[in-house]
Amino acid sequence: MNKEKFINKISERTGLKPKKGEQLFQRIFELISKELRKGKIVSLDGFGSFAIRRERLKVLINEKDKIVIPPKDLIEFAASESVIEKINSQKSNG
Amino acid sequence: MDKEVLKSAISIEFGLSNIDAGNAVDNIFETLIQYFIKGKEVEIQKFGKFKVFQKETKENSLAVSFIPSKKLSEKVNGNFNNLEKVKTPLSKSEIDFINSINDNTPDELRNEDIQREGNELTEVNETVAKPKIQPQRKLVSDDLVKLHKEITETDEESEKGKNLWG
Repeated sequence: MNKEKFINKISERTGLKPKKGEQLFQRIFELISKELRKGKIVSLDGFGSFAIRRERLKVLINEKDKIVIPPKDLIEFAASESVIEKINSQKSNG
Repeated sequence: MDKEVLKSAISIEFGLSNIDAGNAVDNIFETLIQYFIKGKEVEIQKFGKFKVFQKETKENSLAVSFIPSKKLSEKVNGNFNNLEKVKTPLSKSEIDFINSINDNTPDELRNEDIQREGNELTEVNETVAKPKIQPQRKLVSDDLVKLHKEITETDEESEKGKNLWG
């Protein structure tokens, strides 16, 4: 992915100047990050949703020791159905 | 947060009308989607990477994966970043407990073909250490195992003549 091309595409689509477009683009993802850091779900119609999944604490054992692995909060993304359809429609048999 | 909230925030922060902010946000996501349709990867600084990949289960089944950036992963895991893996030797009472469970394992559930290696680490579900014999099974009494067999055999026979529509 070429960043310049990407910014130009955004500028084309939005009609904003490249610099403004880039700022706006970055701000969108900053806002999404902020919500995720609060542990909140971000659900974007027609694109997908981000959520936090908590992996629980694990204990592994062998005959002599045990290892305790702490829990972890992970970010999960699921693309929306419309996006899945769009990316698969290119490859559908016809 | 949903798209509407996002659009409002952008409208306020960038001094755009609701409509203009709304269009800008929609167009930005459309741009991303166009990249996905072309199978291109998208990397967003301090956020993460989107990739289109082929699912193993079906043909013609593409999906989008997302790998968050290290920084974002760390921030999201804020509650647990200070915790580390801890290795401790098993106490005598823990070892005794494990051995007692092993000794009480009913024959049907005992898999004697499995060799347990000294260095192999296995996962347990509870915080109290339990032995793992591959594959992991619940430890139930002989009577329950017998009862379960009886019940499932009965079900199979009565199901033979049936289909989804009765």
